[in-house]
Amino acid sequence: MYNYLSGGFSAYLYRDLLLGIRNKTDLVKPLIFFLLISALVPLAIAPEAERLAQLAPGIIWILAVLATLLSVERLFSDDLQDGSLEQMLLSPNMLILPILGKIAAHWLMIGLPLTLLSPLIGIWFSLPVVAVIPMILSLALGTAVLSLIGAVGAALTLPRQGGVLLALLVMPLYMPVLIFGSATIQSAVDGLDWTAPLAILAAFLAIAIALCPLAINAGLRLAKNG
Amino acid sequence: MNLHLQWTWFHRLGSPRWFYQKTQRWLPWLSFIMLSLLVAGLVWGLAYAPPDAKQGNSFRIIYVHVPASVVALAGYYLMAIAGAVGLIWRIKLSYMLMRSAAPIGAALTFIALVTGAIWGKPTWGAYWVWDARITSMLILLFLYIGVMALRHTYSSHEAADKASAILGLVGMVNVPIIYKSVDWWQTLHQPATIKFTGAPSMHPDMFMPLVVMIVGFYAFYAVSLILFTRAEILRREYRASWVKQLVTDKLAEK
Amino acid sequence: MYFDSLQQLIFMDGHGVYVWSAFIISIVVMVGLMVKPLCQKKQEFKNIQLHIKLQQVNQAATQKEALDASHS
Repeated sequence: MYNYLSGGFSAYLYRDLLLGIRNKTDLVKPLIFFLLISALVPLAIAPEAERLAQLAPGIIWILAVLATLLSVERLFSDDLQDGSLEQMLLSPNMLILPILGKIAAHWLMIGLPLTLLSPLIGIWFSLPVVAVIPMILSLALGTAVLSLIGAVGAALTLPRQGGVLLALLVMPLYMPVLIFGSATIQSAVDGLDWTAPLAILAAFLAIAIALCPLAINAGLRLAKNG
Repeated sequence: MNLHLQWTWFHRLGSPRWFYQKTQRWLPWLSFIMLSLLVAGLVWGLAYAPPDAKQGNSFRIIYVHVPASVVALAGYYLMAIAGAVGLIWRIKLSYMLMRSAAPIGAALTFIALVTGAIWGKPTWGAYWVWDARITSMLILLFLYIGVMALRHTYSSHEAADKASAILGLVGMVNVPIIYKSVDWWQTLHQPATIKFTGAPSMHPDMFMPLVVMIVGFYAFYAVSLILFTRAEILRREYRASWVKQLVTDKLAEK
Repeated sequence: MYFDSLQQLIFMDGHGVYVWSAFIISIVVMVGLMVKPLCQKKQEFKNIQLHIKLQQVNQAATQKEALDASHS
């Protein structure tokens, strides 16, 4: 028998990945944004290695937040325009797994590349080598939470397509991730135990995976009717 | 049938008409309680309470700052719970309460932020310090503004109500996490040199006026919430016959 | 009373500006929170009056039409 549950997850994951790979510009945009702004920072502040290293944990995380925010807006709006969202909503069941599939695809296309690019930014900002692995781990977990929370905002603002309102809704909710994400890197830089803030990020991810799809499901159903 | 009878009070509670007529009778009493508490608390706090040993007279700002913060935070929960009740039982009135609670909460958060900033100047020498509580209040203000702004995304009342309720619930789960995170973030970085006087360590002479003011602010919140909700009821129920009757009666009185 | 004179109460050892401005801003915002819904309510009453009047006019017009139709 066809398994509806896992089928929903992998089908949407595959579909969104395929769409993303075929339409490469959307995929590359947030990454270019991430790199460009990082290059602006030393120009705007100072090229001194010491000062940059001090600011690096915060700046890397702010940029990660902005890059996800930029990309998350499109998560459902394309589907709304081409009608596939309505098709998805025809199902009377909770759409937990299709939604998680879409978000997983989003993370694979935005969060993961950002995470893999971050060592480069680390080098630019002369971040100590000990902080690189904590940075990668914190970004990997944190960007997944950012994608999940961002998707809630994207679903709720779907009728007007996000923009500033999306940022307003989502930014306050991003605050804890931002705090613990940059704290993970900062602790590593200071030679403290960085696994504690990382564990809290992992806890956020667990809570977000459990609760965000419920809100997204409700939001999408509203957006279709409203 | 028995079950039906037991739940009638609940449904009556959810009827806008019942709320409008009942609150008409409650309002004078509530306003009287509110005014007497606020006036007593103000006079007591401003003129009779002793000044703080470290902060001098500027600590008297506590008598608006803390009540506004407490009620603003509680107001967020009230708003989110009203939204949840609306989502679960589809009660119109609770959506109206939710909508009315947002601007009041935002305004109280604004009061807490402004008075906190004013208090900061004589205490820390700066209008803005990234203190844990002030930072959390700022985030709370953004949460309130988000709930208010989300309404304009939807063309129908119903969809807007539901969307705000969902956002309120998401925020409700997040508010404790945000508070704890900001607290932790604060201890990670330099601790504030002088903390705002914490309630439990306060002398009773200072603490009692604060209690009076907090209760007074809750009464104020109730009055304002009722006033906003009554206006909202009229706006949404203008087709109902009892509303029409109300308006024609009022016309005849003049 | 803690203060000896009204002047001291207003001055508060140099902290008066902060204390009084904080209280005045709070009071202004709180009064606004009570006046605004009252104004809204008044406006709603006017809107509903208009709504009722329009309805009556419409009703009268349709009645007259029906009357004219039956006469002719």
